[in-house]
Amino acid sequence: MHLHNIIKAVLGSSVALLIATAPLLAHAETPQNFLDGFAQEAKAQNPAFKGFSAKTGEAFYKNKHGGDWSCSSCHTDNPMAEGKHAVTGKVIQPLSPNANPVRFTDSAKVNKWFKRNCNDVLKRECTPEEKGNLLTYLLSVKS
Amino acid sequence: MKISTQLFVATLFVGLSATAAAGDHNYGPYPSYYTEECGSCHVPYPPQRMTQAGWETQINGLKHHYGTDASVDVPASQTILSYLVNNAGWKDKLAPTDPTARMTKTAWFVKEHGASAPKGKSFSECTQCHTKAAVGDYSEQTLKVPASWRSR
Repeated sequence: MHLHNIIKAVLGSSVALLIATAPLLAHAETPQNFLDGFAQEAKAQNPAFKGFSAKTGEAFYKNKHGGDWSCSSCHTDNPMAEGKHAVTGKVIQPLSPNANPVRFTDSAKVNKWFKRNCNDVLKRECTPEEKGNLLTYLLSVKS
Repeated sequence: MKISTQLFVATLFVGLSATAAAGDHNYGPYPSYYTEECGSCHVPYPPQRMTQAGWETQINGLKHHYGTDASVDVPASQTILSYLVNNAGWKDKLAPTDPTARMTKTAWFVKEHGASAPKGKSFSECTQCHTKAAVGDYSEQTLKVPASWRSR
């Protein structure tokens, strides 16, 4: 086999591998991807939007917003800790990506749970700014 | 000798698992999509323990599910409903008795557990007593009733 044939073969298989893994790579999301997305949406809704605040996110997380539950009712006051469902007692894995790396890596799950839990706590959908502040807070908690 | 004992135990175990059937209080393993969607907030409930009508009411009412929004998107909810219906019970005692089809209000449940949970507790906390409920095992061997639940 000539050298250029070997190179061709290696290149060929690398391209094939890249094509095969491209869809997987496209789906691997990070908390930062979500922050960027929320920031874009927040800016589109409010041109005066300046950026997210962990402090505002923390207040949002602990507030009952006039209802019976806050985020912390199930996820506890410390998003690095395991939570417990307020009614069923079922253990809930930590919400912060710092304690639980699978959090905020799958947009289908992120959308599903924001939709449900915002309805539970606020009786409405959350705004992109609220989601961004919350995630900024979750990422700021280290212990 | 040791290996043959292990083999024997393993064979026995496989044999027992293979004969798992109605009456042994073992309803798992559940499909992963069922555990994922219906086992996040509570343990996934055994489809065999309620009738088709009950499961239809449950799945159609997920948007307002005992004070929470438990909505599931349409392809997933159809898959889940098919699974529940295909494995649903048929006896009268498994039929829903209230408008929201609470499993805990069916005749068999009330007979087995009483009409109300101890104060401050909820019947939805299956794992309080059925320690392996998360995987569908409700057998006597894995049942552990706390003293506070017994004194009633």
